Amino acid sequence: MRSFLRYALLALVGALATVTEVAAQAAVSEAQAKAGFVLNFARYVEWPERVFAARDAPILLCVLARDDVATALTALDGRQVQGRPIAVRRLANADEARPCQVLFIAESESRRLALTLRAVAGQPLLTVSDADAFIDAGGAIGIVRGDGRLQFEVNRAALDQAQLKASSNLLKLARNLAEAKGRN
Amino acid sequence: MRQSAISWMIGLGLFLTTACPAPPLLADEGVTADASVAVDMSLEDLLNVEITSAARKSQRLNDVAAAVYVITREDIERSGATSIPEALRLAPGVSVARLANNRWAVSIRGFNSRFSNKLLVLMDGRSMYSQLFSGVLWEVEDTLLEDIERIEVIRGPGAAMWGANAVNGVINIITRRARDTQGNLLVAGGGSEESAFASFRHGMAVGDGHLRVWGKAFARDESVAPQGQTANDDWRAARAGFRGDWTMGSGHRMTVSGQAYYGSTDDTWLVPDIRSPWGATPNDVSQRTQGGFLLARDEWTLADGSEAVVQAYVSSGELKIPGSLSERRTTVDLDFQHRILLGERHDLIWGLGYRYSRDDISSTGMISIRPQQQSFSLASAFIQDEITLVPETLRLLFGLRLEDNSFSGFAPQPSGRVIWTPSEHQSLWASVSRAARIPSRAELGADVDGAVIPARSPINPTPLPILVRNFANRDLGDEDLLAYEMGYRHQFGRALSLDVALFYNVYDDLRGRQTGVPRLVPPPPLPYLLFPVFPDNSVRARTHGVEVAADWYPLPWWRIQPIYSYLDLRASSKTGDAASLESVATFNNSDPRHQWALRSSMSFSQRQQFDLWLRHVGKLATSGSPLYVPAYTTLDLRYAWRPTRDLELSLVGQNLLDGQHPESVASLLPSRNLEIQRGWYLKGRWQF
Repeated sequence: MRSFLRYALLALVGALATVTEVAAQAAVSEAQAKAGFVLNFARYVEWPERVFAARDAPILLCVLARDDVATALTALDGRQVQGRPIAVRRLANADEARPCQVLFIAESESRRLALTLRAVAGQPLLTVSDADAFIDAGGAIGIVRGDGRLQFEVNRAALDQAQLKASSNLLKLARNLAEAKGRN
Repeated sequence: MRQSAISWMIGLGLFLTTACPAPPLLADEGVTADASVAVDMSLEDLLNVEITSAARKSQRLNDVAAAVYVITREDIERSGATSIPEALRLAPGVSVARLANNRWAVSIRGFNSRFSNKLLVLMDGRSMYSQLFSGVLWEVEDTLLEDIERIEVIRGPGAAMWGANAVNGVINIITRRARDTQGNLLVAGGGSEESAFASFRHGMAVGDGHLRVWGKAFARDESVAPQGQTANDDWRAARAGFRGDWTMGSGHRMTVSGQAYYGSTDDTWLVPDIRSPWGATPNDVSQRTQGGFLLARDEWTLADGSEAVVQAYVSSGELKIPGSLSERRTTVDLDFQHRILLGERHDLIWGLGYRYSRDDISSTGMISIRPQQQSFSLASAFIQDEITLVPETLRLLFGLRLEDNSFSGFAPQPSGRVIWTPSEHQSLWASVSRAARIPSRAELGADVDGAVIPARSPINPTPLPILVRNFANRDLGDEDLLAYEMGYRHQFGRALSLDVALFYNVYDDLRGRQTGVPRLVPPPPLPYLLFPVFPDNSVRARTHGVEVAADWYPLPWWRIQPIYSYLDLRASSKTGDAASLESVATFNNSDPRHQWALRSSMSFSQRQQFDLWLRHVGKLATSGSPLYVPAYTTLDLRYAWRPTRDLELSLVGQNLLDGQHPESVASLLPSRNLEIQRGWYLKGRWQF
């Protein structure tokens, strides 16, 4: 057994010596990646035309968060999506969400999740959160962690209820809708 | 040779911790210079970005007014632990002593023994507490480790929220949702102590939800006696289970889960024997357990926005030790909880619970349990109000649980907590709470031979052997705790977080023992002197201690997690009876004063991982005492390689710093003292 240990160690050292790709990591923080996801969701979801006052009216991205995801989302202000600029607004509570098209609810706000979702139910609003089991609570898109990466889950019933159309591109990448495959 | 292999391993560890090529600096994670990079990525690219930040865990933790430590699935995997009790070593304030390859003693904040009785262990809301011993039989309870989402270790009384027996802590094992375990998973491997193990899981979509089914089996090698002879403690077990989660049209979320298990663990008991010139006869015993459970839970949001959960489970099991004990037990448990947010300030949870448990116990030989059949019922109601005094800054929590059980009657268990979060990066909390432990079925009904002192020996000069027999005491009452706690958490920037908890516990009516009147028992088969001992509530104790946990990312791909626990336990007898003093001595010498551990986890480009886990556990008792266990320091190493994203091969070395070491002495049942050996195993994990 002891000699096995020795061989195992040798193999291990050999393997480590070949690790030259160590450095090849992308410099993206979790908060920035989450903001990237939110921007893409806004890109792949279609709102009923009536929610916009004008052809070039902005997509209002509202943020219920105190953490660094809020900071990363704020940086999206002014970007173009579906031919419209994004306007970011930070909210103090969910009652202010009526004019929004996208509502991001941070995990730190998840204590009042049920009430928040209730306050915006039926509105043409895309709810996104990184809170645990967000889509179970009735949210539309949940950002989740798995396999050291971020993934997302889509609640189709919630999208229908909010009269939103998600592109097939988005749906096929959702973890819960993709063809059954481990990766978690 | 052995020594050189070890120094090699340490050298390697040092090499890795110092000489690894540093990746081009990502500097701090908070940099905004790269913000546009992530934002401009496509969904496909974002799904491939590796995330290394620890923010998620600490954020949720920052909000809790209790000493909580969360062991994540990743922690378990990277620790190389192959069982739940081994994984619990990851948390501060927890004492885990492996008595043999198939037995553990696990406790929080003191009073460790194989039948540690001040701990509530739940898996998905199902109590794993054995009614018979008032403890957890860690060799019986298990699940697929890959299915565990996280283990929440709550130190300190959780009785107001969780119920009786959550005296020193609550361990809450939460498994993953079925939709997170889709596809197939195959895990297989083997090694020296972990002779062979295999698990399989299949997850699929069923209707508007998901279902997984799984099975696992393993065989573990024997450990050794102090002198090196092979012990009789091998372990074979197999189990299968399922979990399904469905969202109903009406907004109800249903979870159904179940498990069936079989296990066989061997042991050698030194059975007290008046005919033996040594006072005991070694007897090989084989413990067989089998059983299963079925659980259903429904969660929904009511029309007023409040949330409700109703849960029910039935569990049934059999434990058989041929020649001494057989227990069959069926338990039914119902639980209801309702959470209401009243205005902006009150977050109210209330609930009702009922448990009914019926057993059928037959016993022979050294153990005698009466009555043969007994039922136990427990009804409880609780309420907890979380009051926000200053939004996002100051909160008060009041909780009260009222419980009535058929063993010891009514017990109110209140708690009060306050938490101050001056910023999202720090929090300070304090609490006062009361908790009770209900006597177990065995304490109320079991007579067990404790020891035989042979005739004409140094402590028994009489011509007759003495049998010390522990009798049951039907009048035994609850044990009581009043706990004072406080804690502080701080997140320093993106890379470092610190969690400190202090506690002062005052126990009363702890179970001690009292000696009865000795009497002469005439033959057959032999005349002997019977020294009866009865359990009573004669012990008081005070404990205080500190637990510290840090989480540090010196580099984005390198994580270091040190933990430290200090415990001072002083028990005293209220009666001064010799047996009570002996109980006191056991309490005072069952827990290490100092424990620390250091974990280093390195991830090289998602393809390779190198993990190191150094642990130190202080001594128990003092040298020369029968309770003495020397301090030990040990090291586990793990190297994992992923040739593809779905396949991982890992090599784990455990307890590498010595050939064998003891971690505890046998308690209650007369098992031999055994030692834990160095071991290694190779594991493959394939998702497809």
